[in-house]
Amino acid sequence: MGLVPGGNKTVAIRGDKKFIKTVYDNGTEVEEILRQSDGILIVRRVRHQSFIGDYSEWNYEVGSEDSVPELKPRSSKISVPSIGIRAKSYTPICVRHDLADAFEWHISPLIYPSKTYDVSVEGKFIVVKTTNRKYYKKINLSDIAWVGEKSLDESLLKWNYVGNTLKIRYKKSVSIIRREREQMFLMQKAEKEATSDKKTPGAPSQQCPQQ
Amino acid sequence: MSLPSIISQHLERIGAQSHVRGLGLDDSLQPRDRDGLYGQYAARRAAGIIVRMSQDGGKAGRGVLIVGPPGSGKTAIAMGMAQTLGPDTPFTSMSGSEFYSHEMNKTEALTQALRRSIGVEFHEETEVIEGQVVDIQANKTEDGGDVIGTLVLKTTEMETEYDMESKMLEALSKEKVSVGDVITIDKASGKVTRVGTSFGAGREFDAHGPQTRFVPCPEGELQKRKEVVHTVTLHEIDVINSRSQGFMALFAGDTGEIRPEVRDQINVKIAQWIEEKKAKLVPGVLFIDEVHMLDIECFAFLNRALESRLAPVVVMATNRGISTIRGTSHVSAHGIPSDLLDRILIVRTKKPSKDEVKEILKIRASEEDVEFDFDEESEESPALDYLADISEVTSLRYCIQLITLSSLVAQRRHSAVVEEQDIKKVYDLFLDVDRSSEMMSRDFLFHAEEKDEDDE
Repeated sequence: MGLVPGGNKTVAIRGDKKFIKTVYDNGTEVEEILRQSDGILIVRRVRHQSFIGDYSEWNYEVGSEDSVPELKPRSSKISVPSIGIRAKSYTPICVRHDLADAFEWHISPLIYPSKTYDVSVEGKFIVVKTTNRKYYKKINLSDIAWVGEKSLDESLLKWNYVGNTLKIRYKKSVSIIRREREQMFLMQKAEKEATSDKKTPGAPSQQCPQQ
Repeated sequence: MSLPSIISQHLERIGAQSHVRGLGLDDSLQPRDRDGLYGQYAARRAAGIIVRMSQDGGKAGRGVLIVGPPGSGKTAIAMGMAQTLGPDTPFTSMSGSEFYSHEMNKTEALTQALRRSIGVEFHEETEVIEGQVVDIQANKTEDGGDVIGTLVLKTTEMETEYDMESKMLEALSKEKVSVGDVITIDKASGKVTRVGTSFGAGREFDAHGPQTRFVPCPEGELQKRKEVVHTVTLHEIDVINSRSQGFMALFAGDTGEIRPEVRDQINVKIAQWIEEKKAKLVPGVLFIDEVHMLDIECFAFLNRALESRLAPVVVMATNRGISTIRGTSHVSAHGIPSDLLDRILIVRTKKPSKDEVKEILKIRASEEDVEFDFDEESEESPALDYLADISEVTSLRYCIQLITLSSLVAQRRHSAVVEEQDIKKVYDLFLDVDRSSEMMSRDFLFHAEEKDEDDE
């Protein structure tokens, strides 16, 4: 796990999952979902509020809409009206999957030969390039900024191309792991306090309106 | 490669005023015979001054009434005003009868129309797709499915294919986007902007106009966050903010009524933005055609609304003289109560002369791709002359209807041009009001006038 810092947080627990909603003063909303058993972050999605009060679509930083069944919109009626254009179904999609000791991105389907790809570190970003100029992706890893690291470390980066999927792995640095442990500890403490206050063990610490 | 003609045909259907491209005024507001308008110089100059007033901003709540006989160009002048104001100034065109509905009360409909005519301009960072067009294809759908086109966009680093619906295809062809152009698509609103033509686009055989702007092909990812200037109307802000009120949004969509509290909140917010210089107000124009169709309640409301700080320029048009005000038994000039008449400026259009009618018919004929015959000696067109003669005894609108009909008759004769005989034929086939009512008095069984005579 590695939650976004700051904001106004609300937590709800359902089954094995912990839903954390963070709302910032400028209207930006972040929703994060943790797996209770191992503390791994399954989903982080962000949406911004526009100047006139409209919300953008959810932008998935970690995981995707398919990661957790609860995220699927219940009714198609609520969905935002289409602007009349969307990428073809075979457009490559980049999804981040977190592991205990590393961040991992899967980009698929990519159908070009393996020597086409080049993955490198450029400052704060991991950059994926293709020699045929068909695919390009600049991956922002905001987690490193939260521990005060200025740039990524090329030596922690590994990648391979198997079965139409490009897998990129970036090992978590010592300071990132330390931050995650601290957060986990604080959260467990807060939960204990909340449940002892209510004297109803096991009840959700707070109600999250969205989930 | 451009979009197939099937789409452009669909888009460029010929409407009654589709040839109007502006008010036809030069920089010093002198009327010229261009932009699809002819004659009515005084009215056009007056309209030009109103447009200037609206563009200067800050002078809200002005009302203008265009009066004149049917077919004298009232709506055409309003269309010209809209075209002169440009796409970024809100222009709402409504007919007086549109304010009556079962879904919404009259004052709500009027409020929405007024708020649709005021824009707010602001800078905002939003998600856009920016790239160079590699390919545009429009596919015909046999099964009525959603996907009707393919768009391929690229940057220096990547390329992505998109499925398009008819909405996006129309937006692209409106902006005249073709292969090699660099475009941005706003992901929130779907607005398409043509940035320019890419340096790299190899279009050796195409002639470039002097306005062609050359830009480099964008770099990096196709999707990015970019600062753009948005103009949205107050009504759009109202709708968005009443939509995000949770699940109630399902019941109160675009067509429903908007709660006054929402509007109050938004007005306060906008005043704050303007104070902080975050946004600018763009007062637009609300055009109400056939304004005599409004009733006394609407007029009373309009009177009050014109006093509000957030009011657009309201242009009204009517062809009524002294008539009753709807909803009362009172008679007033143009069917409008005198307290409202006091508040507005009146512009007159005159009945066009025979020469003016000829010019107007000529403009309409070229708009409808119809050619009249031409006599070398007199440098006149006998067919056009004849049509103008008909208009003297009937009406201009009737004659405009005859243009396309006569060209169809001419086509049956395998003639490329319309001659006098074609017009005579359609004049005999299709009656105007006067001849039709004359026939009624002769042949029909229960004719009102005849019955009166019998009674006496």
